[in-house]
Amino acid sequence: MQPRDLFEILMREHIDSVRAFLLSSLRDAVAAEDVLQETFLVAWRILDRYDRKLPFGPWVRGIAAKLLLNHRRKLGRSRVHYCDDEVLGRIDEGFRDFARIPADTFDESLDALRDCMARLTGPQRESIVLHYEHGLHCKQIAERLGIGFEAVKKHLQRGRAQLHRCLQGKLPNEDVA
Amino acid sequence: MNPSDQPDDDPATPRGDKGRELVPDAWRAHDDTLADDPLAGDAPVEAKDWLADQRTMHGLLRAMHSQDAAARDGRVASILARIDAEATAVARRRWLVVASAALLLATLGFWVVLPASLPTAAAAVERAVVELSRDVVRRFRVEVVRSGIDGRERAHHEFELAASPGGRFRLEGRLGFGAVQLGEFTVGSDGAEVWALGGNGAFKMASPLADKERLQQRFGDVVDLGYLDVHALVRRLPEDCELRVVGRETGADGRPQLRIEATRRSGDARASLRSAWLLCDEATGMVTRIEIDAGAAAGGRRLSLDYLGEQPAGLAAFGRPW
Repeated sequence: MQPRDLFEILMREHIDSVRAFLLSSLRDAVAAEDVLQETFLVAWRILDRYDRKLPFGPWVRGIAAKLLLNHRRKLGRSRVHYCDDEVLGRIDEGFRDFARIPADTFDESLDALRDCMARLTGPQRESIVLHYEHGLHCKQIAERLGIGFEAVKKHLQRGRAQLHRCLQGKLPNEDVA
Repeated sequence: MNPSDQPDDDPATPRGDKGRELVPDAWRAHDDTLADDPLAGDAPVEAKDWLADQRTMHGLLRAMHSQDAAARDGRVASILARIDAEATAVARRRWLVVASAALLLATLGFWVVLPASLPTAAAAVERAVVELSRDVVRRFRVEVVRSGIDGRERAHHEFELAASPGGRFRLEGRLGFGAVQLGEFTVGSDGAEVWALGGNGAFKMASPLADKERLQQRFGDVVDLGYLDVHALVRRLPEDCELRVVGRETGADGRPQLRIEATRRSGDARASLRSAWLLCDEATGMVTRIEIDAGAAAGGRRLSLDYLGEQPAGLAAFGRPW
């Protein structure tokens, strides 16, 4: 198998999770696409440095994290969410956890998140659906639900925290710290 | 209670009223995924776990709601197209370099340039020494053939050698003298002590590396301990021998190899190494084969080492096994 073929297989396997990793830090989805392309191009150029005994996902997310930090330095905080090595390292840990959910593909792992979403109720669920599915900003959600802006933010934060706990509960027993 | 006054959820923080968990407002203010005006300054250290969890979920939720197989295929195709375009550009640049070099050769004349195109033997050996000094375990197949004065083969031994810089090695194999096959034989060194084990444990011996001659006397012509420290063996060649490149060969894997001849300088009659040949991989600099023509009490002895590759760390035990 040629290195390019091997790389294509690895890329197909990991591109969705790297994109999600970038979307956790980049406001603009188009910018995330650009950094995603750059990430895999850099990975291809330095593929000989990749230790094949180690999983590919964390290695390629490490490249994405470095590009994110460069991007933030160039474009400033208005385009990239709060980033430092520590926070990016912890986000990467979150993605490592997510990868341990028993599933064959990233999309199948997302089924676990869909399941957690289905269990979410009340204003937390409404806020998350309106924000992530319908693309409404907090202010628009506040108007739609007839509550304050700060309350919407809290519902979203609480909803995400609940979803996070729900996903933690889906990790195989031996993986739960 | 106004919803905006309700405390937030977080497993790391204490629970407040109604079982909800308390998250300080300062932490929330740093969650800029929901704010148009991000808060200036670094987030408090204690908030970073919570922030990272929020951001992980933010990324996953965004990905979940924009998951599209066709878009993924498009992304992959676009990246592969850029990879191929880069490869074409590199090939074009290489072709230009080759064309320029060919033009240069044509201009200067083959007879001027060709002799200098072979690297010097000293440079190739120096490169091999640098490669061998990397702190990894390397495996070699070692073959020792002893012949009598009449030139007929008297003994043939084959071993596997694991060697690392710093005088660490372990040689294992069976001893054979003609049709007579003796038992397993192991000799090793951890860089401080050299030891040998044979005859199914009946023969055990160890001595400080500095006093290895004592152990060497017991082995006779089986193997010279000095050749097992491959790094030191190659490192000493420029001091002890005249070196010259005698040609370029293609290895079994199709890669170009330099053949280097090392001939011992006259004046050291005690030395067993008379001459040696080395094959050095031109791409990596690594020695892939060493052939040694060594003197024996009566007749001759030839020893060859074929490089098999690196061994995962931790699999080689250089210390005395008892």
